[in-house]
Amino acid sequence: MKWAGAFFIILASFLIGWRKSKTYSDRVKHIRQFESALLTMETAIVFGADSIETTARFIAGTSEKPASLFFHDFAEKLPSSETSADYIWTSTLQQHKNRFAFKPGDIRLLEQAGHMLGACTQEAEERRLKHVTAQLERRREEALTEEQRLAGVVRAVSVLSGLLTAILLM
Amino acid sequence: MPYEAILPYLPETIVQAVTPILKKDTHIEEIRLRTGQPVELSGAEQYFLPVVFTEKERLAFVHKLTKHSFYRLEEQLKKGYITIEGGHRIGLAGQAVLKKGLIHSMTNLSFFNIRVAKEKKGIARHLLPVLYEKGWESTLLIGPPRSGKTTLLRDIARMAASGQTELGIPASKTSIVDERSEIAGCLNGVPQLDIGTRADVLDACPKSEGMMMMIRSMSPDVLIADEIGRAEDAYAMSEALNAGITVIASVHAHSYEEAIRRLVIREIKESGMFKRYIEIKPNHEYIVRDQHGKTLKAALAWP
Repeated sequence: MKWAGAFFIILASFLIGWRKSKTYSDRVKHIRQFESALLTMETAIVFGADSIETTARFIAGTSEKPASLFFHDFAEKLPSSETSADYIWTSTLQQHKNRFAFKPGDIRLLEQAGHMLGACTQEAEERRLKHVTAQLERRREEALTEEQRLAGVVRAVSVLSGLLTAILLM
Repeated sequence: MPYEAILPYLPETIVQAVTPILKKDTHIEEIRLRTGQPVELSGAEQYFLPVVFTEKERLAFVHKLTKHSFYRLEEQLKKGYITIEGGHRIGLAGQAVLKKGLIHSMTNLSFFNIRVAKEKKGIARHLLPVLYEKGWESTLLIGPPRSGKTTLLRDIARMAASGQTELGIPASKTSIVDERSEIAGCLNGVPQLDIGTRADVLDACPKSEGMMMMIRSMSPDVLIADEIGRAEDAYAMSEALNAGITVIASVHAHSYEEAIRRLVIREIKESGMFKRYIEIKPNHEYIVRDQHGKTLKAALAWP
């Protein structure tokens, strides 16, 4: 019985550690998804001259979850809404933020990507998206470093703390 | 109904106010929206509705009009109008944005003139004896704004592209250079109006370049273009005519005399490029002239 309890404590600690360390790798993955999405958006705006809705639907269809869910929801809201794309982008982002492993700073940066979206010239849209993509790239590099530095440590500490708790309770 | 494509763009209060009038009066040609002012409808009669186009409605209207993608309409904004589904044209006024002294774009759009596109099939039929003899005759339609030039041109294009088998007129390869998207009313490249079975459309392309492109790529029998007037247009048309293509075009003027006062049109006339000139009056009457400007038929109202 004691051994079973110890096993469950260690397993729970391992899962907590694994989950925590996953947020580091997820953040990198999610930033990469948005980088790629914004790049697609920039290309569509500059070269294809597609509408924001068409572009968002294309991104929703070609990217992975959870970014695809965000872009799908954003595209769905656009035609029926009488408010600006900027407002819809921000409100959709707020609704979906819990699906992402983003830090508050990442969310603020993505809100910048939606600022004046669809309300300015091609040139201005391109400049803004380029600026946000460059910042996202920097954040992805930081997130990658953080993942390499901390993910393993968090997993090890979790398992060790589980072991220690089990030993103390036995 | 021709106006149905316009309604989704309008605010609900305005839809409720304009729909009964649009149903009752089929001659309505324009719906005018001015921020903070009552909505105006005009055609044979004028109506000022007791609904005001508010600032909130203006913003919603602009979002719908641009599909939240202002950047896609830069070229149209420079020209001052946008064409929507069904070929309806929305004239815009607001604040011009200048760059190096030239109009770069427009912002704070506050005044809108929605011109209801009318598709009147068969209105060119009674002109067939002058438009088609052994083949289609190169023709220039002359008329002031709202006289129905584009509507007539569209019907001629439709008849040329579909043919009139009962009259022994075969369907011809018809190329339409639709710079303002008014003839075919293309949406995403697909015509919204009936332009016939053998028609090819080059949408939103400058006329002169478009005509040259169509001549090279689509080998048309008949080339259709709206509102010509620049020297480049005349050059492109002469290229078409020298290649054995019939050109049917329109020009903006109140009369034949006014049209040929313009240097480009005078030169076109002197070169004998067009075999027919059809002068359209605001009351939809027309005068047909031959290539020398001699009246063939006068003051016939269209059916």
